[in-house]
Amino acid sequence: MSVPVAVTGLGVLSAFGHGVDRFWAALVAGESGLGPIRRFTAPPGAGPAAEVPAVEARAHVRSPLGRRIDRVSLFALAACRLALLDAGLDPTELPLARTGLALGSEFGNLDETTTFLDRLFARGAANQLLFPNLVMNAPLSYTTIELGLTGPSAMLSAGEVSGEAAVAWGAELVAEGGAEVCLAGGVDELGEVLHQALHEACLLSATPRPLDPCADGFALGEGAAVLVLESVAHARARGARVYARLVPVAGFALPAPVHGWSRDSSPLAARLAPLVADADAVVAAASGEPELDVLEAAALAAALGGRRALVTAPRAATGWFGAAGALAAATAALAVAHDLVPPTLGHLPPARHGLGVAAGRARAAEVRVAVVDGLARGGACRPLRFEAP
Amino acid sequence: MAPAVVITGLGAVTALGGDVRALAAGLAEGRCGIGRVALFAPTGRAVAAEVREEASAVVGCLPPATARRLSRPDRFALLAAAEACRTAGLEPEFGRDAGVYVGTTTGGMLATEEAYRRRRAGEDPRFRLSRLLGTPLATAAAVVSQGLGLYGPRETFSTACSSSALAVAMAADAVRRGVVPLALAVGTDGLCRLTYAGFDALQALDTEPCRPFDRDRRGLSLGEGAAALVLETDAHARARGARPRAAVLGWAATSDAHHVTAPHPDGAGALAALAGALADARVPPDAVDYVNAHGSGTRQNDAVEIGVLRRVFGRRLARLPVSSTKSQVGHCLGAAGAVEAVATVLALDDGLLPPTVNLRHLDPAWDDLDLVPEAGRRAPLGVAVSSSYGFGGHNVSLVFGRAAR
Amino acid sequence: MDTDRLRAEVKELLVSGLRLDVRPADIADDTPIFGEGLGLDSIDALELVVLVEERFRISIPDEEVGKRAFASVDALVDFILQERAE
Repeated sequence: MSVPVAVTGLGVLSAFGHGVDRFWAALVAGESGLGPIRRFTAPPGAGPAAEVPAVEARAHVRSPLGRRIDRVSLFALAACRLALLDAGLDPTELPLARTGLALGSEFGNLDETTTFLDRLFARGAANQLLFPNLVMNAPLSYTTIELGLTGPSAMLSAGEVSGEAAVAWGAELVAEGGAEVCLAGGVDELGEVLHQALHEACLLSATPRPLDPCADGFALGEGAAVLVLESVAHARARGARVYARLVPVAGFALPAPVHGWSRDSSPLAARLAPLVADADAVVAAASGEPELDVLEAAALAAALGGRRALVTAPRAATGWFGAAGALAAATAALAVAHDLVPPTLGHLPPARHGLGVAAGRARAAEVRVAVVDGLARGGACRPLRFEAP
Repeated sequence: MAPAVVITGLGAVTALGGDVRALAAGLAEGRCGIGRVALFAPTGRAVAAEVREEASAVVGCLPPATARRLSRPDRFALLAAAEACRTAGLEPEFGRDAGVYVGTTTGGMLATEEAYRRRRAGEDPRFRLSRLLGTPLATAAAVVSQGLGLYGPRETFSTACSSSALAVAMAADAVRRGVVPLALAVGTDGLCRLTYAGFDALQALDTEPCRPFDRDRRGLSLGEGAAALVLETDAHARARGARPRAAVLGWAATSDAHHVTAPHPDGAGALAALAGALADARVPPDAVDYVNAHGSGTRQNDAVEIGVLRRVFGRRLARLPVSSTKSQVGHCLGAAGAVEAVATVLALDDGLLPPTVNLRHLDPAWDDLDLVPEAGRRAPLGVAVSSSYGFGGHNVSLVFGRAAR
Repeated sequence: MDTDRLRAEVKELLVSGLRLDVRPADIADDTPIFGEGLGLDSIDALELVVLVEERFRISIPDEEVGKRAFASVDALVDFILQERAE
């Protein structure tokens, strides 16, 4: 027996700042989060990135263990706290054993892994204080410790759909009655080594243009977004504001190169068609990476079959990172709540295949259904479906 | 009434050999697969359970360009998954909706760290993308899915040492709820310098093969490899003529919310996981015939774990065999949950208890217990439990039952 | 520089550097390096640039140059000889 799931809070850390309000305001205003990288020295000629303004550990960390918290874990924790605040939930009053936590990340703690390896290779010595922070589930551990959560929890790592995977896991948990509340979202940080590697492979662009036939690459970003999920009944009982309902949809996979994107959009179009049949808005995975753009544009155009759903690709503004799908999920929930679809930065019409890409300025429209298509390399698809409450 | 979930296929690549037959034989003989690290020049003196057979066999249908770029853990995963699908007698048509649930902690880190080292040292003028393809943890799931034609939902979990125990639980849950008709649960991890050096720096490694539950135990021995299990409902298995090897009766996952590495001293989270799993399985503690312990061999874990077992099983614990297969295959980290699930299923199916080897002196506090010292032992088993406890306090217990004949 | 030896070295580099499942001697001199011939893709292309630049101490500044240089084993040998002569 599945119960309807409500999104009642959003916590977002993005290049636009801390908090969902800053995120949404900047996104609908068509601002870009890309800029020169401040945290490290990028290789000459390397493109801009979307960097989250520094987060004060003191603002979010309460436990003594937390003084060693790493940036990725801190982002996750901060996003959780912001989400709870936004939902009007007091962390000290949560039903701890019945509160779930699901976090997704593609690369986890890049910065300290690099530091650890540098010392290991230079001197054969390992930093035992850093090592516990290097496990992929460090954000999960720190957050459960800080908030005292003893309910069901999971750390997921699903490449480009790390955010979607965690949100979907949380939604299923609440829908099946495994938890009263679940914090679900994703986090990834900008890494110097990752940035350099992608730059040297000529995959980055200074001006990402998702879904634009001239797309020539993507820009890196970082951030975190956490959704507060609870049953609609639970939300109503406490008079919570509901952004949208999150309707669990099964994930699936399609034939594709293990490390890349399929060249055949037809199977994807066929699987997406029922999901977007009544969609008013689609939050696309497109980042400006040409292969993905080509696949997604063709698949969405065919799936929508000429219906003019508004398509938006937030990664142009937020940068690309594994957990960017969590911010895409927040975008979809906000689109439903505000009947507003943010523009896709850098996109100059006409779009590939005549897709209705929102560009230039935000579009006001009744958004009863917003779908995040959730595409990852290697053929995985983890869509999310948000509906008006 | 939720449908019964059964296991119809098993696969494994461990230090004891490249398939389940080798694992079963090694476990039965009490052979220890822990020895010198040859994969890289270790920065310490600790030994490990390294997969010796260079998995060169090409399995599944991946394009040559992809196959030659697979990381070691990706290759292990594909081999184990292929064996599981083969022993389950899976026809290709079942792949369309088959779910893939993977647990891993570091994925292709060995290749990543080497590529990084070479770039930093200037030995490579540019980063080599071809060596970094296995870096994202989700790669193993993609390899298994594309290599074997499995196109249902795909998830990768990473909760340290309980990663693939969680993957098994999630696979069972998906089958039980009818999300998928069939699921493959996989655990995989490979030795790498980062993990080795990190555990060594925490003084968590024994320089000799680990001695779970021994009075003088001094730490764990890292292991590596992969294991896979095919899960489906009993009805689905019988309809296609597949023989269940065991049933998944129940499971539970909890968080300690206590410390980033140390287990809760009272083992509250571990106890909740064990009790919760038994409750989910509707099995009273009295009905359990064997416990495959987390048994990592650290001073802390083993003590806390026995404490938990005493609280759940009471005086009956003295007559309940408990063993740690980590004494033979090492601590396979992300793969441990799946490897130990396979070992537990083998125990139920073959009626053979795997031993705890390297036991020289039992800790006096538990010399009343049956830790199956040194050699495997025949025993009819009806119900068995496997538990895994991950860094950061992530606990999973799985309850398995003998398949109805 | 002995052209035959260079040709053999290039084939050796292709096989060992890209971990190909073929013997160097079995690669025909005029086989296209990309496309049908050896089954290489864009990731191999990036790798090959690194390997060739490193081994032969030459520079492949952009994709255009790379495309011409990697047309076949013969083309690559000619390119290396040309670059080294300068």
